[in-house]
Amino acid sequence: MATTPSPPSDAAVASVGSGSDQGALLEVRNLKMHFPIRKGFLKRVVGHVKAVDDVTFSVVRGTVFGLVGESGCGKSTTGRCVIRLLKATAGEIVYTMPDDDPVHIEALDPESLRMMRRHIQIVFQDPYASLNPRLTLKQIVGEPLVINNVSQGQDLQDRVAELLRRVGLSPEHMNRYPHAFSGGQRQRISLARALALNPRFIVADEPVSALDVSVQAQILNLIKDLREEFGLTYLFIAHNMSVIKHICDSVAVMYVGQIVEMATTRELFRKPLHPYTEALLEAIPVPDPRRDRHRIVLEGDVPNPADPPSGCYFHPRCAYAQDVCRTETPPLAEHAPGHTARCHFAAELDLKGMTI
Amino acid sequence: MADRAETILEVRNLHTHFHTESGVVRALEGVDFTLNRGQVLGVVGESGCGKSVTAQCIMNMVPSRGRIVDGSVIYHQRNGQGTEAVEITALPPKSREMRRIRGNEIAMIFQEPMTSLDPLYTVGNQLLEAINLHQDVDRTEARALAVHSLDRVQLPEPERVFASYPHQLSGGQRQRVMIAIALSCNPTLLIADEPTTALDVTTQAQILSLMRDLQDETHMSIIFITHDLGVVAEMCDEVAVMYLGKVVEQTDIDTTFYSPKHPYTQALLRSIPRLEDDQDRRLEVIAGSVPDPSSIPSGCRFHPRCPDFVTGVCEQREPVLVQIEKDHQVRCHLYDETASSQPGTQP
Repeated sequence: MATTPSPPSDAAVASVGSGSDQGALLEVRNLKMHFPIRKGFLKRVVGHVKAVDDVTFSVVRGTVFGLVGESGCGKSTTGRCVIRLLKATAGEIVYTMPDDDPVHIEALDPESLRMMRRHIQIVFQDPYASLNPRLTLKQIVGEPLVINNVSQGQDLQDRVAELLRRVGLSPEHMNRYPHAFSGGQRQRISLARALALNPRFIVADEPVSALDVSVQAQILNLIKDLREEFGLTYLFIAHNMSVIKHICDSVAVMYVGQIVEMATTRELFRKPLHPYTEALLEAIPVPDPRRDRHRIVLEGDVPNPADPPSGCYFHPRCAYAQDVCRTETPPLAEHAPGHTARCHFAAELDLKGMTI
Repeated sequence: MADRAETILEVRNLHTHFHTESGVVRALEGVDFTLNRGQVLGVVGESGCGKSVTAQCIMNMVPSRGRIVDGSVIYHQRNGQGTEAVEITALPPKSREMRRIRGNEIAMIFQEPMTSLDPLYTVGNQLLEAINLHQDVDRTEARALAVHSLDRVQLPEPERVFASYPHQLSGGQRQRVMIAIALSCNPTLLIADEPTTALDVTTQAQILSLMRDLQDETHMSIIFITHDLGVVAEMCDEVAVMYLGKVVEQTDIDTTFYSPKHPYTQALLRSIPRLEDDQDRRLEVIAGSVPDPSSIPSGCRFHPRCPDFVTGVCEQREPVLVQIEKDHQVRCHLYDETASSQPGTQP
């Protein structure tokens, strides 16, 4: 054993990325989100779905932190807890204010939470569902400005026009309704709305998954440009490893509510330490017909988070599973600087990464 | 792989229009491709390009507002020694002959395994329905066939799955059931309309590998409709690229990825994020977005977004499908030498 596994709570804070000297903008510590399962006439609680179970990570200022995993792994729930669209069951979410004051988002009262939302915004996956069809672009993009008493009248008009220009839309269209726009344009509108209050942190929840291939590239480039221009920090949630690879500085892989591996993007893709990460990398369809088509395919399905397997949650599907995996839950331990993995054999396995 | 190129399906100049309250939507405006026996043809395109309508036309199941106004779909069916050409588009959709072709000869699987299975019936019920409709077997034989087909798609405990309702299965298992139903009558042609789009990556890999195994085993022909170029590269032998109701390029898989000719195919390949990319590389984009099918650009439909646009030609004349090499067709003025002298001639 090269490294001794340390307790997950303090080992899991990966300080990675280019701007690590500036420190973390957001720290999530031991976040838990358990949804009760109610049954029967009295709606008695018979169990819990552990959608997010002890998740710890930190997002360095000015970087893009990716959360990747399959459906039901808790990545979106984590994103929603971070901006408190959901109130977490337990854990700390610490956001560093511009004056370096740490703020505990999980403990804010409604009034301070509203103030807080100026700093943190979210962009959703489905631009057809996240824009109100009865409001014009001006109303949609201007709404945050009006609600927060930032601007009105002509000033509001000018600001909305400027925002629309920033995301590559024509300001003349501000009196139109969302139905007149295509999926990619709608996602631009969502981005304009998110940028209205000059936030510093944006949670992007699968922002390109619902878009066509040719439009996906436009939005990814826009997200990158806006980051440079406004010095934004992103929590980028996605299931597509190629997209993650393209946009993120560091990544956490989630499986059944837990982070199973976390590292810088380069490191994670080059030298995965968790068998699930390896399987995810193997499963990506590669747009190259000359590549060998036959490869290892992960068996079985993602377990039900209401009734996860014993020991390591991944053991029923894992090709390297041993007896210990069935009984003991592995801790999230650091195996290389800034590279943590939740696997008993992370130090011994020689897993296949990408040659990049 | 086909031992020799024997055509199983020909789609010729297919035009399908939908009559809606806001006018005529020209969903298909010239779809041409051929599929050889035992091959997997990928039909690729973005939303609204007409790939699913093409599948509906092949099955002769165009929704009631739609009509095939021109062109034909010809299916070459094996009988005894030779083959017999059946013009599917000439058959009434509800005729006995068409019903025999659907299921027995051509079967289809859909994108959403959730919505294409009936939640009120067990998996077994739905499988037996297909088997009893198309095959002359008694009850015990039908049941054995059904369980066997579940076993064939590598479902664990086929007997248990047989008795389950769709909601008791996961997304991947449901898609396996869909495949089992489609294959229960041993079709020679399978149309798969985005069969893995709604699934997770690891489940997608399972389904793709299953489909490859079944294809190796049965040598059936597959039309694989998808928007994911990665999936195409993994599955297909031939590719037809569609844009706004037209096939713009058809060729073999290697040429599609390594020397595509149509500017749209080229741009599509450049715009996908690749794993081997350098992190700082900006993705090349295709300007604009897919136009609404009710307001289609004049001339070549791709010209407003095309990087190689030639003023005076592309926006005025519609390009025709040109054979530039054996098994390589492109619909673009850049490759049409006759375009300047004889506009609008068929290759």
